[in-house]
Amino acid sequence: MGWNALTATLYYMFPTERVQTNLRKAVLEWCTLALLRAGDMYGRDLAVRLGDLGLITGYGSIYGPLARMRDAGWVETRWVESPVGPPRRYYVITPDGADAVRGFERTWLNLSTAVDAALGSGPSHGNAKEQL
Amino acid sequence: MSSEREVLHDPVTQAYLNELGSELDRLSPGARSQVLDQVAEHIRDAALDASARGEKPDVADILRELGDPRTIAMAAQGRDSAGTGMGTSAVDRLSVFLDSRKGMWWTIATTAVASYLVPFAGWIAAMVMVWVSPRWSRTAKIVATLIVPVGVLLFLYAPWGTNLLFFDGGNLQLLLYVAPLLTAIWLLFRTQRRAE
Repeated sequence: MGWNALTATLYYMFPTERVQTNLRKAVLEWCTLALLRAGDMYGRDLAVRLGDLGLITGYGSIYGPLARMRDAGWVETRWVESPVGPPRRYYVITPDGADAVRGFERTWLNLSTAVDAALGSGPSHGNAKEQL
Repeated sequence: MSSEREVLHDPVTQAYLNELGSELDRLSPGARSQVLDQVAEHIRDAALDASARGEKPDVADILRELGDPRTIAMAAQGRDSAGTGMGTSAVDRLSVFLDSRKGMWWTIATTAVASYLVPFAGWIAAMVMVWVSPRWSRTAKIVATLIVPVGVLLFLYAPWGTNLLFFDGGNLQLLLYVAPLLTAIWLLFRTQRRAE
């Protein structure tokens, strides 16, 4: 690889980490609501699930968004007795939260369809598929 | 003492929670205590879950899985990269650092001291820090930037300026020492006002 090609490669290198981080953060609250729609969860359980899905790297990052969602009236909390210790704070999705996540589902569907169409329309579509 | 109490009262845990509390300085007291309570519950639950599996809870592991207090605070305060569009360039990283509590104190200290150590260039560096940091409002930045030049202009050109300060080179030098200090006090004042 020549010097020009090398510098061009470095200059135009896809910022994978930044893009992934921003996309994850943009959908974190919606995915949290979607998980809670499937059932009530306590904080650590929820954080581990989101971590397993690759949506957060540090489990602590979920508590700020959870507090905001509580303030927005999308989630509420209740205390549930635990067999292994003191009661745990469980997060419960509210009807407003369920409406919000349904709205996000529609938006996501439209957006992902548009992005898929855009990605599928380019000349490098075949190459991208091979790399995946 | 039960394992979860031991973990919660561990000095390392306490230091972690204290640091998180300091980083959450932009939240209202109620919101701050909400996040702190939830993180403390996470630590307690992680210890309980480990005990339930027959393992000894490891404070370091639990805190590692929670992540850096500054990152938690940024997510809690809506200052993460998704919210601000911040990337990973050197300026972005500097901006993130200067936005932290530690970065805020560095900015104030640099403003107060840098001009004495490196005249002019020190003041320029301090003003760059003020403008790069998203912590200060536009008004705070503009006032901070104007204190030194306006002070000098008044000193040199206002009819009462030279009389008031008995114009000579020594007094001008004194002004150049005092003005950055006033700028630092202004930033400190803005910090206190924000905290209130």
